[in-house]
Amino acid sequence: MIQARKLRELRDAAGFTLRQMAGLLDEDERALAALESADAPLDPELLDRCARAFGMTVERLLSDDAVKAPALLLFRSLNPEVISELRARRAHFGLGDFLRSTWDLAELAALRARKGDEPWTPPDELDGALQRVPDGDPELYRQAEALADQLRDRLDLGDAAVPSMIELLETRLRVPILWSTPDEVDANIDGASTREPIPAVLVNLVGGRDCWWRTRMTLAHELCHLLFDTLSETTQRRMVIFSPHRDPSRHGHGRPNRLYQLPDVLERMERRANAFAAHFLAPGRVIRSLVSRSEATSEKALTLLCQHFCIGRTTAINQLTNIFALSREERAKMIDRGGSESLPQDHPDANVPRGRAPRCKTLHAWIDEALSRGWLSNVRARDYLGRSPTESLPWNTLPHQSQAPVLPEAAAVRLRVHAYLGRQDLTVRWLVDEPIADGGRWRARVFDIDPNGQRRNRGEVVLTRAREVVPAETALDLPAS
Amino acid sequence: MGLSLADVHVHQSTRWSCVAACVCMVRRRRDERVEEPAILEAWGSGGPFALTVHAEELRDRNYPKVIDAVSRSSRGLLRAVLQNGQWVIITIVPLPHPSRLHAVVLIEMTDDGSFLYLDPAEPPEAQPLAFSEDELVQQWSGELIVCAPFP
Repeated sequence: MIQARKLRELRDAAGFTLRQMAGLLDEDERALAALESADAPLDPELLDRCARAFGMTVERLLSDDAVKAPALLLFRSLNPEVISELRARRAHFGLGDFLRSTWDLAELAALRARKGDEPWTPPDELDGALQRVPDGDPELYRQAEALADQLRDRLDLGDAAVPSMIELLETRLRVPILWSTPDEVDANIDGASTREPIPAVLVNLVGGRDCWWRTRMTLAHELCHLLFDTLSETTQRRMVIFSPHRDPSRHGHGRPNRLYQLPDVLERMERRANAFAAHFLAPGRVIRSLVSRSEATSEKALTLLCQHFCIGRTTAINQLTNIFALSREERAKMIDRGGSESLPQDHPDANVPRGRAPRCKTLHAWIDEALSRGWLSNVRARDYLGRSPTESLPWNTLPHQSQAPVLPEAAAVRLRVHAYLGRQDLTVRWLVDEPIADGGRWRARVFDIDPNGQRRNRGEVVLTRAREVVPAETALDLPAS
Repeated sequence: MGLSLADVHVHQSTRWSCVAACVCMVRRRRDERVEEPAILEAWGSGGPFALTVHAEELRDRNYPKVIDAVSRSSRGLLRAVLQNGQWVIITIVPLPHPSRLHAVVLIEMTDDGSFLYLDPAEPPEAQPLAFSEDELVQQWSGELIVCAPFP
């Protein structure tokens, strides 16, 4: 059976045990074992949960390509402890939502190309940029600085601060950015990136929207993953990676201080991406021209770096430490000294989309355009925006027809009542009055028409607000068969 | 498919025989030589008929008989099935004047996301008709019989 086969296929492709897979799907282990061998019809709700956990839509989950999903490669490269942490913090659903949105973006990009709009093309910078991460630390950091310098040169950024990382990624490199909050994606994850089906980046607003210097760092970090990271030649196109937050309160005993303890190769990629991000935002060669070794530990130097490059205090301390080879004690003193970045509240990188997830300027712009030009159904637009057809769209720029619900809630209830009546020959031709909302219930009176054309009441169907029929409260006057 | 849609299409013979006509269409698509009156005779009346009872023998048992017509995953399931070449009988409450359930057969998806369908209430020359995604959501009850793959 398809459902059993799909569950098993995905579990095998991810390299999960039955227990891991059950945990990820919020299922009991024995129940999942039964489902994998059951002769049961598809359960759309279970399927949707499964698709979400693996970063797909149900449609794609049911396709033959499901086992090639980027999330499967990521899961395969993680150790059981990390999988367990992801599950415990429900982070896999947040990352799955991000990947799902990238499939939606890819569909919209294909639609735009079909309709003759300027086709979306991946950034040139992605071509041939992949760089194996070195094994040793000194080489890793040297490589990160070199890659950052090369990219800055390629983008003609000169020695100035990057005016806006958001603009650089979204407009210049055409990489969509999705934004999440810590109640959607675990606060121990700063961001994520994927190369397929469309290159895209997730930023988790762990420090809040106002902490824009952190946003800049996350974007630069994810840019490194996007451009340079690969696990192997054969899987490079499917690379997806998430970036766990370093937690200074944790003591690693030789291991990095993260809640999510990554395998060595991914950990090295994290370190390289951190170093790349720092050098990309605050290049060493410029720092050397701004600050001398003798004043490198001063508060004045720190403030200068923060303000000149629009970076956070920690990044500035790390750069000064690395570039001037400061001692651990000097670094610790700078950290202990406290102080602030003295950065303004306003900055282009503080301009983060608000509202409900998915928050993505590119996604919204493409949907807006596709709706305005009549390329996209109102239902599909809501699918991409995570809204039900019974909801309106709060965009004043759209025609009224696109803003209004495709299906008013009462009409959806009425259709559900018809499906309930459709279960037997006796009731299939009955009619349904406009349902009435009554506290936590919907009530719909049903009737038929007698041979004289007169209305004949046949009782009432009661439903929950989620449109589930409540048989115990439903009373139908069934004719004798 | 060796048969044209005109050969497959069945115009329902009574006001209430849409389910029988849909079942007849699917069976014809399977190269069965069958007429709707024969089905009505076998079922013992001129209708109306509950889809999920009378089309059960055509059903691919991988799929449920009722799903939440409003959810994205349900439409994804429908699209996946149609892209697999399977036909799906559904019940709708037709617009613009919603009244009673009516059965139609979804046969294909178009590139623009519309659903092509055969409607037993319409003449053969009008087939196939098309629902946009919006129209489908506005009319579909959530009942479905995903037909077993054709040989």
